[in-house]
Amino acid sequence: MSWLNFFDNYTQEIKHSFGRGINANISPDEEVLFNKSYEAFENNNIIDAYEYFFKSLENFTNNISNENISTTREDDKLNFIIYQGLAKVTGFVTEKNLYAEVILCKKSSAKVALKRYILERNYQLTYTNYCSDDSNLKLKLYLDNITINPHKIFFPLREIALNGDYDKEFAKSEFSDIVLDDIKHLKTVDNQELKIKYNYLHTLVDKVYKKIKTFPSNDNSGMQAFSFLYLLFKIDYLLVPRHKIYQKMSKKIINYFNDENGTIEFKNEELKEYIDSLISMSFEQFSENFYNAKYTFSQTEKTSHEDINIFITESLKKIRWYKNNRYTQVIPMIYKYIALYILYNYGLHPVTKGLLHTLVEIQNRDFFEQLDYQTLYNEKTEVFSKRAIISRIENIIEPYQDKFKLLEPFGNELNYTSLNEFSNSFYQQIMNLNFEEI
Amino acid sequence: MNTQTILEKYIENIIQIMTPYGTGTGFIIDDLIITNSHVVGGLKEVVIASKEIKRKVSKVIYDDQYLDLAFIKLDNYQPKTALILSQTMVEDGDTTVAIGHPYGLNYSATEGIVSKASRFQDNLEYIQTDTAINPGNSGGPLLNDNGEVVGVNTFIIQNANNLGFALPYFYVEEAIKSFKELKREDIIKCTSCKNLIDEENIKNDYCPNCGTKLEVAKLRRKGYKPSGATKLLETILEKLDIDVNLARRSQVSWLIDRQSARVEINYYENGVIIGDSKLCGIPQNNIEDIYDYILSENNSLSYLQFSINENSIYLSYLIVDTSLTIDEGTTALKRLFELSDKYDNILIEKFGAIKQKKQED
Repeated sequence: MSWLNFFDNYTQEIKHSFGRGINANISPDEEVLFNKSYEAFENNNIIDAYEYFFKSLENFTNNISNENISTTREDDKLNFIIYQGLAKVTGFVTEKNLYAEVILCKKSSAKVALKRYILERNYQLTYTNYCSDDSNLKLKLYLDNITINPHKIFFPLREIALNGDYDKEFAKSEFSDIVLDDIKHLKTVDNQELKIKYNYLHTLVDKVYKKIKTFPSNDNSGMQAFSFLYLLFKIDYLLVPRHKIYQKMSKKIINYFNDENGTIEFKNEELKEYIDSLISMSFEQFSENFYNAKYTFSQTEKTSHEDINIFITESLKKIRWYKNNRYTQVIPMIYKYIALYILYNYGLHPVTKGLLHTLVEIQNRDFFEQLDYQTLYNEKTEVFSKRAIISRIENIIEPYQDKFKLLEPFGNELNYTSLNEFSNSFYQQIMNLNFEEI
Repeated sequence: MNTQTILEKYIENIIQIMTPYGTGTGFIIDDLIITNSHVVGGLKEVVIASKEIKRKVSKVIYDDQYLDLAFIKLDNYQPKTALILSQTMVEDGDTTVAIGHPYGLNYSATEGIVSKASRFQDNLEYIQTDTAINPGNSGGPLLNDNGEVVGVNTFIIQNANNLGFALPYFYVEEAIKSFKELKREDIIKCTSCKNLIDEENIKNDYCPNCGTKLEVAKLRRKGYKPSGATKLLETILEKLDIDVNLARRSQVSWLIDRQSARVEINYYENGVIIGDSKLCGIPQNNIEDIYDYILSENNSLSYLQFSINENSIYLSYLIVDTSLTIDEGTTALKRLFELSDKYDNILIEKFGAIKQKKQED
């Protein structure tokens, strides 16, 4: 930390979940624990090895364990629980094997379509499969310990956790009469927070629709596309809806990017229809789509910093095009879109994720202020809390400087003259981050 | 004769040839199976099958990379109606028929015309035809409308339409004659001096006459040697009394028929090995009962699992290559072979599932 910030503590305590993924920091001892697990497996201390491995998956928020993993020893057996959203993976390890399962729902409540769905899922899964016992439909995993090592445990456990969560989410939104089982670990979202989110959704949509009206009446499909996608990425990252909203929104976004035959106008219309349906929801309907949960595995694969740079470069080029062609009204939105797109689509290094979250916080001051977060930018006066921003960036980067010697905090290099200039300089600095291990 | 009549009359002469590197076509002339050199892939042994010949390993006794021609030994079999080599050259516009196994689609006949009767390529004469020739057709016969062999389908121009080339019958006739005169097997033709060489006389893969390095001699000497997980998988199959040469469809896939069950094993690029047994099809009635049954069986099955894909029920074994061991692989695949048949019967008899129709060799 530089002397400038020595007397100020700008460490921001995170009180809410934002976006997908584990929304937490991995254990500071993760690498040590992983290596210990490896050694224990090599020495054939299977139970110890698994215990170290499970500990390496524990994650933390504000330096407090999220208790996303729990283990208990019982004679020659290690019982464990892994939390991943709706999925509670319970299992045990013996010297010879590992067994784990996620309960989906009561067998008696499952309809034929759900049974067909999970049997088709079995054809896609690698390590796990759906089955039924006397009372439940469940996803199970069985592993022999003969050739096992921490690398080999990671992928099967990730598969059961991610798919257990995904399929429970999917089943809940697709089969409305299903009663999901084993979800007592979920926590409800505070009613006040839900109201803030509900109202914010309406304000946000209203603002964007008003903005769209300012676009030139012809040749504005590209700008509209940015606006609608920006809206959806923002709803996803800031409001973090689950169940039906999440499922439908994901589908809409996937369809938008994958549909090569539809015109942009047609695809825009599809997005708008969906956004209209969101704002027509009553508060009660909206509230059914939220819960808080613990997460262990990230659902996105790690993306290289190079790929992120390519996306930023291409996006900044688009901004220049709009600027040169005097469509300046869409530019602030695209600056916000870039960060939200990256956070939605890419598996990020904690540094990149922390920095982009900070940028989102600055760009969306109105929302964060309602949730009682420190103000980093005053939209009315266009004044930035420069010292707080510099300190925040340092706090994000410093813990990783031992590993990445060329990683430098850049708060002083940013352009604080306007939000657009600030965003532009922030992206330039993200592109300059050097993750080379020396 | 029309194409259908030609196919029906001479189908017994058409051979499917399988190597770890791919599949191709061959045809019977006298006591030889004629095919392309590139189809046999420099191997001394390949797997053959036909309507009347069950899959078996057969010897490649003549390999000529210059003409892209190879002969495979045919033991104790003569088709009812033998194919013969034509004695007259085709002319532009003549009707031609190609028979083969394009993309593994067995015994496909396609019809076209001679686009140019004599097209030179690297000092060799070829028949250019618009008859549809695709990968898997290589080594198959190009026939005239009398059903006589006018050429061996040898190559196509990729990404072009209907540009196929066949090696004319007279090259084949001459090669058979020269080969038979030697009264020896394991003959290689030198690509440089064009002499026929007894493999026994080749030292360090050099032609004893002109000193040219013979690529095909090296390939035949080395043979096909699986490695890594493929080798382990084949060791497991051998432990289960499976002839891997017959089971092998490529370097990364195997097909095993056990009673009514057919198990396909594939080793994918991402390191996952999947042994799939496609059992019966979903019936029209009692569908939920079948789902309940196989979901319940999944609970007690170890190593194996039931799933559904495209309206068929599968029993499968999945493992990542780095986790495959002889013990687990043997136990799991043994179970897959045994239980596939058992479950297929249960599902058909008890639940009215639909028996799958199998494509024979």
